Amino acid sequence: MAKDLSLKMTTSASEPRERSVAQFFRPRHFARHRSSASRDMRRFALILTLPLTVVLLALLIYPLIYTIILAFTSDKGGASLGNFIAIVTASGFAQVVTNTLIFTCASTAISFLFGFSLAYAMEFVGAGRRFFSSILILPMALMPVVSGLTWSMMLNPALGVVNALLRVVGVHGPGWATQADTALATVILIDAWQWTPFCFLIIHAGFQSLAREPLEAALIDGATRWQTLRMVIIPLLRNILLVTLLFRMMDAFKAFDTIFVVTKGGPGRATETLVIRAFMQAFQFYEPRTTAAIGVLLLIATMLATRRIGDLIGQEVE
Amino acid sequence: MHSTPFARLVAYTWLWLCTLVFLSPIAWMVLQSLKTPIEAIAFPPRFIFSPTLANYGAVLSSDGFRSALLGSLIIGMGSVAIALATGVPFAYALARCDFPGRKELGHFILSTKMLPAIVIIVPFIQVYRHIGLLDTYVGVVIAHVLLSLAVVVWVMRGFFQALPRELEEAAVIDGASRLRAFGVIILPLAVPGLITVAALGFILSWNDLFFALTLTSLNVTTLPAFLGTQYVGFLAVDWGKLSAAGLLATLPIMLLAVGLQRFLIRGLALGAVK
Repeated sequence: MAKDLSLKMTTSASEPRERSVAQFFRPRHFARHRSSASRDMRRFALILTLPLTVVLLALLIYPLIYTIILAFTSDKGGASLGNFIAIVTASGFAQVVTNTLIFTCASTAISFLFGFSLAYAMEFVGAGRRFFSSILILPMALMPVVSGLTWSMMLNPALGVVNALLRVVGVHGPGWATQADTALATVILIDAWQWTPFCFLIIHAGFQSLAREPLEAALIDGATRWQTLRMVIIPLLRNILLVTLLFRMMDAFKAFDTIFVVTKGGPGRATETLVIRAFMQAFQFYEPRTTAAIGVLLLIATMLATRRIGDLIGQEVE
Repeated sequence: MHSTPFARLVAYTWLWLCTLVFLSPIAWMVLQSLKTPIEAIAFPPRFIFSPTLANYGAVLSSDGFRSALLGSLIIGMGSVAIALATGVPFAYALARCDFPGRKELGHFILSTKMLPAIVIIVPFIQVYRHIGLLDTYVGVVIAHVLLSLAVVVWVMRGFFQALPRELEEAAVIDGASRLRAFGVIILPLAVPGLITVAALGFILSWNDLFFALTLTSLNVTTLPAFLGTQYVGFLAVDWGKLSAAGLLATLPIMLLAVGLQRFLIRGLALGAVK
């Protein structure tokens, strides 16, 4: 066999030296035990990984292959790029892509900045940490359908409480989700409200994992708070911040519930993203090929992001 | 951290301000849920009124809500059970055994979390139609396994890696099989991790609208699908009942999240934060 398929136990960083010493003194029967153990290990790994592999093959691989094939098939059955040409030239495609980019970036940026600032503020809090963090995570626990509906109720232009309160202070409130030029901003705000707690929780945990000494040292050496934050804290938290950012970005990229519940992509095309368009193509216009073609685009974006995240978390863990 | 009184003042002000913003929609839901239908759409909106529990009574006694609640419970528990049964052993293999393609498999599992469900839904529906799984509990359970699988595998992988290897080695040298060492020694130690992933998986399934919307119709419904359709009429929304139903549907999850927040942090970042 060209490839070495033996399943050896992975060794952690501290182990190799002990191992080599042990190997040197290892009696013979021990070595024999090891080779049978390695065969044992191979079978063991197979037993452990088989159930999930079967589940994934059934759940994911087949649909993915099907989607890719469907995306490259014309309605007459031959291979073609027609579906891609069709989605790119379909009316409003540019706007849908722009909406997706704006939604993803704005929602990510807002929730990340709020989450970071709140986590940083918690560092100055003595009493009440538990209280604040308990409340600040609530929106995330709320079902997106429920928060979408609640916000629609509050932001209803005619009867909603937000515009009523604005009127009290003399401001004529906008139409929020019902008005083409404010709808996208509205769904972005709702999504950011919902997921700020996600960023907050992870970054807060990151702050708590920091060693105190470098921070104290920096402050004693006369660094301002801003300098400490920029030159000590952020570099130390780099990986955690990146992971948070990427996760949040992917979630915003595939956001469905909020937009679907609040605007269904409207008014007009104001809040239509790639995911919403793909959904409508499949379930309203019954164009599965178009959905598949958009799906392939989404798939590529997903793969690119996943690689980066996987490397980052893997690094943290190992 | 040592901090000046001014810095503390700014921090507290910011936290309080955000707390209010974060809490206000939930507080408004509570108020709305205690109003009569007329009061709920009164303009200007009322802050002072005589509260009634009629909405809660109506929601709890409606068959639709009850069967959606039951559906959400069955599907949540079923999908978490399958995800744990398949994902935990897999995570253990990723953490402990060295085999070709380990890293790629890990990434592939991770991509299931990132993948927008719309990419696979069309073939899913076609297969389901063929084998009669459309609009069944089993069908949604299977789809929801995908929601929690990445969380289960990645969080548990980190968890197993943190356990000292000597534990199983000792058991194996004492003559236990690897499988037995995993089941008897490692799994009990991993209970905090299992709680994390089970809770998170349950929440993900509980809150999911997409699969419920696309894979069910008449026989099976879940709370998100029910809430998204039941109280939202073409012309009018029954805000009082909607708020009551929304609160009833989310309260268990909110309590779970607050109670388990220490555990959840670990799960949310898929093990990137300890």
